[in-house]
Amino acid sequence: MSPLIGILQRIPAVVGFEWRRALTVSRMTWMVALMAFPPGLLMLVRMAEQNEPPVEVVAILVFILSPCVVCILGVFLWATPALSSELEGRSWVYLAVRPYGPIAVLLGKYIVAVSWTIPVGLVSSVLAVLVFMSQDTMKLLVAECGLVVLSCMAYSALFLLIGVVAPKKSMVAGIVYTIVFEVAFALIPAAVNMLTVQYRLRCLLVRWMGFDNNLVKDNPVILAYFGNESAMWHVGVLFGMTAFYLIAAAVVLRYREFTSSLETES
Amino acid sequence: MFAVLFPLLFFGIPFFLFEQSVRDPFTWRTFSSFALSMPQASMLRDSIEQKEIGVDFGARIDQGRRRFPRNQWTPPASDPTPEQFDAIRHEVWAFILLTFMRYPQAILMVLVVGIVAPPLISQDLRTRAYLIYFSRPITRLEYIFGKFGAVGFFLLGISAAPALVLYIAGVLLSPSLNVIAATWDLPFRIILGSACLIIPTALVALVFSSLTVESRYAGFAWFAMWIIGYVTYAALIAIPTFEAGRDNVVFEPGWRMLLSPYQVLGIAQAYVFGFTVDGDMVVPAFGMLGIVSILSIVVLFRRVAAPMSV
Amino acid sequence: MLLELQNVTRLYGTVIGVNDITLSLATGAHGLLGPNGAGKTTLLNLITGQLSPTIGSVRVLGMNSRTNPDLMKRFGYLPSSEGMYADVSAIEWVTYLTRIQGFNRPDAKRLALQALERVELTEHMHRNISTYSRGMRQRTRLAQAIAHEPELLILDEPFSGLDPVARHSMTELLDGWIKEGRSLIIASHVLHEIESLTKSFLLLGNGRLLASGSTNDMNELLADIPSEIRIRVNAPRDLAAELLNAGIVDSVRVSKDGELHITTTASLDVGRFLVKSAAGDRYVLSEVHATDDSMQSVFNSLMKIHRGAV
Repeated sequence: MSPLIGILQRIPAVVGFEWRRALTVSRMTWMVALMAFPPGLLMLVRMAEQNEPPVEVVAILVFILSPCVVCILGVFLWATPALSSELEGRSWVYLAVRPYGPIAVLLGKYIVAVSWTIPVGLVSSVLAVLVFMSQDTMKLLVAECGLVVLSCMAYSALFLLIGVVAPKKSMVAGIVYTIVFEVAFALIPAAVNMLTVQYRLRCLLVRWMGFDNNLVKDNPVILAYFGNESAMWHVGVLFGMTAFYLIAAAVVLRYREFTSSLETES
Repeated sequence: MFAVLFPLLFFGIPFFLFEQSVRDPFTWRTFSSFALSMPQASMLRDSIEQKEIGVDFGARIDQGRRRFPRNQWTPPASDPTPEQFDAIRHEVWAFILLTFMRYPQAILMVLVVGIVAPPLISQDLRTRAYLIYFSRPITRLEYIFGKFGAVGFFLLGISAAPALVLYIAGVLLSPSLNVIAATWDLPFRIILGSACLIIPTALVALVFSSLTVESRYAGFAWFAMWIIGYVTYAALIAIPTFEAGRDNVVFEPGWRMLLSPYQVLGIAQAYVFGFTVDGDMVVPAFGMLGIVSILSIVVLFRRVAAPMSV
Repeated sequence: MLLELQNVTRLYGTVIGVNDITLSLATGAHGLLGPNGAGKTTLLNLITGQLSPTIGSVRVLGMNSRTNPDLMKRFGYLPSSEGMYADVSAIEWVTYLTRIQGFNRPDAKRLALQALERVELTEHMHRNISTYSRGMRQRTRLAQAIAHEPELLILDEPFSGLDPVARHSMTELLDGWIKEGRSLIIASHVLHEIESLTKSFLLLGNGRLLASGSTNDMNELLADIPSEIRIRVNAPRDLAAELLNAGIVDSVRVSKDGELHITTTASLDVGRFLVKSAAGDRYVLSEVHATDDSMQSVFNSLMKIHRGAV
């Protein structure tokens, strides 16, 4: 049997099993809280403001809250401990001695992370956008929802890779990576920020909302933050980054060895 | 080690520049440019202006937004006299130490506690090691105190210890040891400022650890608290700040700062070092820290007792 | 051939897990014996493909377990650590793992049910695993190892933590497994339980293979190794002198409490001599203790040889 078919055959089992396990009160509560956070916060902002803020400000606020914070926090909880949870619980060995088990579990958990977080991100985006209704509401809704989907896919894959590379301290490694690369490096107007998911997402926001004409044109500094590539290019790069992270995670997992002694270390 | 040493070395530079400025006017200009580029530099300037000493820091033309100075730099019209240097030394040193503790060390604190604290109690719950602990003559208070000490030790190593080393470095980089007379209280402020940081943060981290048998959830809750708090604060001040900049007025975040743990700690530590971020928020900030600490202790006691209950 | 190891060494940094093991095992049941730290789990990890050898090669059922995923369908593994999900039932968990083996959902469920029936857990299989007793959890783990009907079953400390009734049930089940013509490798330090299942042993000590074969094979190995006999007699020194004169002992020693310790490779001759002495009036024998020929004593002797004590 081809390895690819073997892996694909097993993924549905992992997805179904992990989905059922995830239907707990605490997990659902957390997801509802995440859904409510951006619209709740923007309601507070709205109540404090007398004037309607410009659509650029609303777009950026929703972008930071929903496709960034909500999606990152959502997939972070799922994807980063994909391996470390099995190691810490000493259940990894049962999966490792099954044919194609490790990779099927990895990809299955990726799908679960994405499929759980996308609805949360979409609902929070829609509700957040509706707090500030304007003539651009529809355009903003479509843009933010698209960003939610891409953000969940890319960040899930990224955190999955981080969790596989550093299983012992996966959460901390994920946070450090996010702060250093996705926050700090992503703000440096240089080539380095083009390697971040954050850069691609904000470029798409600018492209899809048509902010280019107002903000980006003729300003080299702003150009470095928002680029001048087309939206399709950024979408393609994000898909490429997602695929790269997933393949890298699978390769690392294939060649790393986990013993019972490692399983006992947290 | 690198994460602790690098900020220490970096923050030794302003100490050196300031003390060398007594002899060298050019160095004063370098120092004042450097100082005004540091976060919350207006706090230092406001504090010195209140003393009416008449020191000219120069200016960054901030286009109306004093809180976030922008790039155009005007050098000082005159250099401070030796008497003026002595008069502002305490404020400058306190400012450098506060900035050191607020920025690199606070971020490091979040990371270090996120590594150290989550498994401390959660693993005991998971492996039922608490049975072994409490089969010995150890009280709940001693257990909690011991766990707190573990986190506190690391936090001391990244907050109080390097800050004290920085102070000592400042003394040694000064023209004479007489600077101690003007700055003798700073080591105590460092310890108090560290206590404001260590006590509530360590207790909250231990609470998260005690609420779950999975240390990764405790770690996640810890980081989520900081991220959500800061994002909430940033979102609430975004539009008012934008409008204040446009209208050339000053915007005070006020109660919004209380929604972010990082800002609350900032208010408390700034007060300890003799600065005021927002006068009306000092008491609420300390109140919040106190309430959080007390609640954390109560929750910890209940959680530690819970597994032993029949 | 069930298992072939060729000069297999596994290092963890500078720590030796297993050291230069070469062996071939035919199909059937085999016991893997050794104290804690002997390398049993490392060897099993190598066999099941979780680790690759630093030096040498491992072939299971003619294939390299690390690079042949399809081989994993042919063996089932019961590790020493529990590691089950507390929030799922036995049927869910065993079905899930059987699906990962490559079976579709209906077949996986059917096989899981069969396995749980075999381990006598059908009555409780819908309850969450967290509510199970130790024995029930062990049976669940065994069910996941046998559900896909492998040719080879590999068990690491299967009797650990079980009460006598549960041990007996497990032994019967494994006995039935062997009688079906399937193969078994069972690692343990509970010697008498292994002896009841198989007469073929591998003895590990400090990462090395000390001996392999049946009990008789091992006794032949030890034929030239002196065995110790302790005798309580009224005139130990006189008896010692006579034994030495008879040339049937290697060494004699009289302890402080008057017990005579002798080492000999001619245990039978010593036995006859003692019988003749006891029949006379001169010696009154009150106790005679000889080393027995159980696996424990065989193992102890082999360890002494390995350490260079003999």
